[in-house]
Amino acid sequence: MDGSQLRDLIGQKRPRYKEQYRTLIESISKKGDSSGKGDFSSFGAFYQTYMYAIVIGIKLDKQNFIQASEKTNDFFVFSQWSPTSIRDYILMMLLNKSEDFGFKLVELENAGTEAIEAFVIELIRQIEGYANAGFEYLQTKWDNENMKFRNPFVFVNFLEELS
Amino acid sequence: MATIIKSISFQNFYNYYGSFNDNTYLFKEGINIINADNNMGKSKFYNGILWILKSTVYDSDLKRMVSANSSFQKMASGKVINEETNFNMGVNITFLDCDSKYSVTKSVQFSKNGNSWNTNEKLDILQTIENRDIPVLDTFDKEKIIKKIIPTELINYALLQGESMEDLVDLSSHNGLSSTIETLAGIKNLIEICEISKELSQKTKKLSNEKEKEINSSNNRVEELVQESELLENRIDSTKTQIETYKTELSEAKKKKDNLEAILLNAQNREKFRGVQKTLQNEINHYKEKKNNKLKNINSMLFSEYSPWILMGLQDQIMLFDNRRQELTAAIATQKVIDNPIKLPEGSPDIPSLKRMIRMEFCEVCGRQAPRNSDPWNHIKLVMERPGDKEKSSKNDFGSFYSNIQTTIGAFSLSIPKIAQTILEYREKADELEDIIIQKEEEKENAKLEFLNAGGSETGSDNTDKQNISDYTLAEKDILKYDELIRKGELSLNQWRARLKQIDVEIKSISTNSEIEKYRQFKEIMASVEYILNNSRERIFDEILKSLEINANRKYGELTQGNLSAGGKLSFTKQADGTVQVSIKNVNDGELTGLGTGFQRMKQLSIIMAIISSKIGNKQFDYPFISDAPFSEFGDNFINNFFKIAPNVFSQSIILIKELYDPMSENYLNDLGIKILKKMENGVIPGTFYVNVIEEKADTTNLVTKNKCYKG
Repeated sequence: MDGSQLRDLIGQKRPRYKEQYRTLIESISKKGDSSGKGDFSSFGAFYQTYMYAIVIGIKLDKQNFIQASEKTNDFFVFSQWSPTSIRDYILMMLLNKSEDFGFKLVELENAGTEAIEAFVIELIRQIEGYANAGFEYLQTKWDNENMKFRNPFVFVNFLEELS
Repeated sequence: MATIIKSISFQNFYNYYGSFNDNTYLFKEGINIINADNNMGKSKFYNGILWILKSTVYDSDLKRMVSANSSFQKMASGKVINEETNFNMGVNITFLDCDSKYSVTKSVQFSKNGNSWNTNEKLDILQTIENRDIPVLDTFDKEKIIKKIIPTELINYALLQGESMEDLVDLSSHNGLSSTIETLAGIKNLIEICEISKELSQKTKKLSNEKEKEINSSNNRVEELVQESELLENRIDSTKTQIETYKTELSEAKKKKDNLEAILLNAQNREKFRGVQKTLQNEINHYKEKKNNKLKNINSMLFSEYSPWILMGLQDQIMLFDNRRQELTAAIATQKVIDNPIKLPEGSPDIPSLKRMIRMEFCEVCGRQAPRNSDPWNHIKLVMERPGDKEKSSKNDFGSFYSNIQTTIGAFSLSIPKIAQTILEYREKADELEDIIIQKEEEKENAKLEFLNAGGSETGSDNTDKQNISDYTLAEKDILKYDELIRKGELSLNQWRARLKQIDVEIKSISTNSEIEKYRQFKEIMASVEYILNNSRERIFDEILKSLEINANRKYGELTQGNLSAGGKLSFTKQADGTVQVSIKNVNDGELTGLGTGFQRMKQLSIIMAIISSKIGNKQFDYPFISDAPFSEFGDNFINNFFKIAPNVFSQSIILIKELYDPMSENYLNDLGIKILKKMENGVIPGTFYVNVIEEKADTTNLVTKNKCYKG
């Protein structure tokens, strides 16, 4: 398997989020409107919200994995996320952690198709873990410090708080 | 003994958020100053007093007085409305009057009902007798107690707002002047006697005429003359009434003309400040749009292609990935070395030949012995046991995948470390724009005030000026019309009166009956009584006017003392319509024109002081004098003079002022404020000194005013 095949394999996956965060995600995302109009500060597309949540999860160094019994929703296919540079940056951060979740890059070079499939599935599970940890953090803020979301700098403020 | 206000407190009233205890001003005899900048509660304070005394408040949006009960929601603190669903709003005044102490509280209970509010107004009055607070329950008694603070007939002179001072001292109004003089002279009884004498005189005339007809029933000429006399009397009566109406109309037309004149004179200023407001509004819109765009752009900046804020602080990841790739490359290279040992040249011995050479301990390639375990033997064994050839060293090649990632994110290694600084600068730019907007809003507000001071209307369009010009022309025509009607009416009266005298003479010459003579004498006596009483009334009126003129000039001199430009002399002239025109004359008795608004307003203030002095003689005024922003057009010298002479006229004054305020100074006082405070501290000026402050910047809905007592 070559690099482009691996990219395609990852790209066709749809990371999921927990149903319990749907209202929050809808509240802080505005489909087709990136202007941030309205009472609350908001992102444009859903996948930007998702990428933001992943970064929050990574900064927290915390994961909130989806349990088998939990209701979930699929996200947009990974290959369609944009900007691609930020999507790739997230991928890079996950690859940096590959040994932590049991995959040495060098071993992947010799691995069979099934092993590569297993790696991609785990990679996506890891992404979901960080994203849902990020949503959990944002949900707590939304529930307890809702007024903060009226500040246009709210999402920058959260990043600064975690730096 | 004078009425002295001991304290005024507010509860959730406009800016005065919180309990009565949080918003209490304690006052003394002398001058009580409340120094506050615009929007810090001066007019709201004044409205509290208006609510208690007159059940009205000044609505600054509508620019007019409104009934308090139509404005409760505006009167309540915006902050409390946002925070509570049940609360009380109120104003309390405690005062001393003839050794009795009273506490008057007007309050409104608010309770939220869906999206609207239910309100319930209450008036509670306590009288303190021998240290016991006794509630006053009777409505009539309550009204009487409120009037003890300032009696109704003196409210116009004791309670005034700088901007509307001209309306309060209404010497140009026919009725206004009469009621002022009547109040000053205390001649209500005399006026009543005048009315009675007029009635009696008319009755005696009627009686006399009836007797003339009865006694001279056979004389047709007498009957004719009596009938003519009755007709003329009726005409005189109705014409007098008509002339009074014309005088009132004339007075109204003059007032209208004066008002419009002032408005038209200011048209140029209005046009200027209308333009300034428009320009500033355009600038505000521009900066608001700029700021909104900047704020809207924040989330785009999080996902910017070149410097995405979302990656702030994550630059180490790039180096980490680079290391991983180098490790991977090294590991792959090592594996290849292991997987690909030396290949033997063409024609080299095959495995069976090598096995045979080991067994025979002889190298067939070089034709020499190779004993067991010797170096040549071991070499032959190594060659035989070498791993077999493989097609490829690894199954996959993900190099391009990693390389593409590294290429895509490569530029971030330079931009991510700068993100924190970029955000800081972005925030500063947004704050700068907000500061500019606030500054422009303030400039616009000032321009609006100038516009309104120049007679502009918030609701009026640019066409208002055209309407005013048309109204002015109409008022001028009305003045001419009513002047002419009054002149003609008085001419007729004189002719009819002369004819009445002729009739009297003729009847007397015809009829000489002694019995009728008694009635004639009685009629003449009553006419004389009526004339004398009316004359007295006129004389008292003139004397009061003269006294007012002298007093007003004295006060005017004191108030303008030390001023570089001479303010002239006030001249009171009685007009044909019964009104009084007050003008300012120069040393040659000519009209002094071109004086600023400060002088004009000082003229009004002098007249108020004169009216009060005329009423009370050499004593002090017995009631509190309360004034909101009376000095907005005055210079330091005027203000200094006022504080010097006011304690001699008013036993207590409460002055709401902004001209001593400096927002940049630590104690919020300008040089004049510091001077006056020192004089108070040294006992030169008796009284108290408060400064209102806003501790937390907020819009008008959440504004909270607190007071600091500098001299209690």
